[in-house]
Amino acid sequence: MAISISFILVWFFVSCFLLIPKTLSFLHNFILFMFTTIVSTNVMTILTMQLEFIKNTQNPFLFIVFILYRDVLIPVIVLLFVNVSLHSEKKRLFFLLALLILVLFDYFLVQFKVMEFIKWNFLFAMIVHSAYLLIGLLISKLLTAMDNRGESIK
Amino acid sequence: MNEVVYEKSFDANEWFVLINLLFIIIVFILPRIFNRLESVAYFLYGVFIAMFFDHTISVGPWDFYDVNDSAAYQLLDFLSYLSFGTYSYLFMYLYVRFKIKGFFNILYIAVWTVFSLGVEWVGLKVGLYHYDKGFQSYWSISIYLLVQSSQILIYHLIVKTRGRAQE
Repeated sequence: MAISISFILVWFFVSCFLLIPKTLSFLHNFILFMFTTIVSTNVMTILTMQLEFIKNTQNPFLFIVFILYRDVLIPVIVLLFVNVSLHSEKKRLFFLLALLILVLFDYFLVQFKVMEFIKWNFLFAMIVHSAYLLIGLLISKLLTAMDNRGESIK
Repeated sequence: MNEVVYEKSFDANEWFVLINLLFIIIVFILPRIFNRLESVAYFLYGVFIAMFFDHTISVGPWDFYDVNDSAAYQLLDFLSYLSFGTYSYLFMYLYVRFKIKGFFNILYIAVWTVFSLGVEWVGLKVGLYHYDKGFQSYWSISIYLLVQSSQILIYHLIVKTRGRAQE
């Protein structure tokens, strides 16, 4: 059940990302995706393996849901948020919407026992997700600034 | 924490990681053929792929191998991922330098897969990797083929969309 629902949700958000008009180029989005995945992967590994604040499932099939969340859903929501809000005046609204989606997915993972909060709660989760979104915005501005330097090799 | 510890000394695996890290200098020494952002993308790709697979198939419940001296996530593990960036950058650099086209793509990926297996074999011998649950080096072949082919596809997409915003 959890695998099916998470696949549907991931498919939906990936499709949304592919279909929206994007403010960032393919290269910018690609770098931002990799960067966000690296950050979320490290955060989740530290929270689960090192600090043991969260316990992830030991069921090999449910673990797929955890990977989808960590390596696809979080980066794609960050990409959606950045591309939609970068030149928008409704940044706060999009920020809250993205945050809500991420926290609801957390709730879904806890309900389906994909992860268990040990010394963790939804407030901490909101803080970490807010950091992902803000870092995403910051990196996108940095990438745009780097591009605007007009450097060309070829 | 109940974790597996293989050894605690500063020996071959630590030296292997540090020497590999030194190779990052190559990225800066080589004549530049990519702009700054593309260089960042090709370097980051290696780090991203190494982290993705290590934090997916080397952690519970799958846990097919451990990296470095213990099963815990250490600073040295993180540093070892950075060295993968040099390899992914070189992969793309030589691809462009040698003007690889058509069926030579297959040969190029095959050569790099053999090279990657060689580096992994050295990593295994020096204690960088500790296989578990019957994991074998040749299991990595499919991963190397997939990620290297993907990198070439992404390179062509980057070239195709150079200098224009997304539609």
